[in-house]
Amino acid sequence: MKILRLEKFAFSSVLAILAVCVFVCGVTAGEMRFVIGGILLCLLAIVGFYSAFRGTSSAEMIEQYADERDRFVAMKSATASLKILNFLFFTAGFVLVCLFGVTKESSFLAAGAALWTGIGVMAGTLLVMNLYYEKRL
Amino acid sequence: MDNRIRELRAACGMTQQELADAVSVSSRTIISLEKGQYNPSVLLAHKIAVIFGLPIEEVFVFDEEDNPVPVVS
Repeated sequence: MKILRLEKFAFSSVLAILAVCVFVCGVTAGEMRFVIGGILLCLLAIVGFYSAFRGTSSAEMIEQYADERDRFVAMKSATASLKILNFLFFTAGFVLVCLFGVTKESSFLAAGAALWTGIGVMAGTLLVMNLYYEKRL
Repeated sequence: MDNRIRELRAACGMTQQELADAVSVSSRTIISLEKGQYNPSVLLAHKIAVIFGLPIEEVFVFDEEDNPVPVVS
């Protein structure tokens, strides 16, 4: 059996390991919620393995039916979403840092720093993907 | 960019769906093209021009006032 989608296989492998760990923890601790969680993760991993070996991804299915205008609209939507997310993260981070300044509650600072880190990660990812596609196209 | 797709399509007696099927796009794309809401790629423009049996310049009207082309001496 050939692995058609490597990333799906890797993700499903991690899910399977997690499922086993959660299930074993649930059984040894006697916590039914962990047992159920482990079973659900196991089912997800099975579905993931199936699609890794047999099926096509949702992106590939969409690609079969999408024409150039659909891709153009998707590109415009993604760009607008990125701008909006960037603005929301920055604004929320700023507000949280200001709240930390007022209340001296460290959780506000942690939350604000996390949001600004998210912006940094988005910018870094955008730069890397831009460089990647510059070289490939 | 303006175009004469609606006029040429009507002259050929084609529906939007028939034209869309002929150039392998969705009817939504043809509708957007006819309304001037979307500019096609060169490949799609070429396919449409071939369907109508006309050069691209006679199907798609390029407005040089809005998009001046610099003259290279």
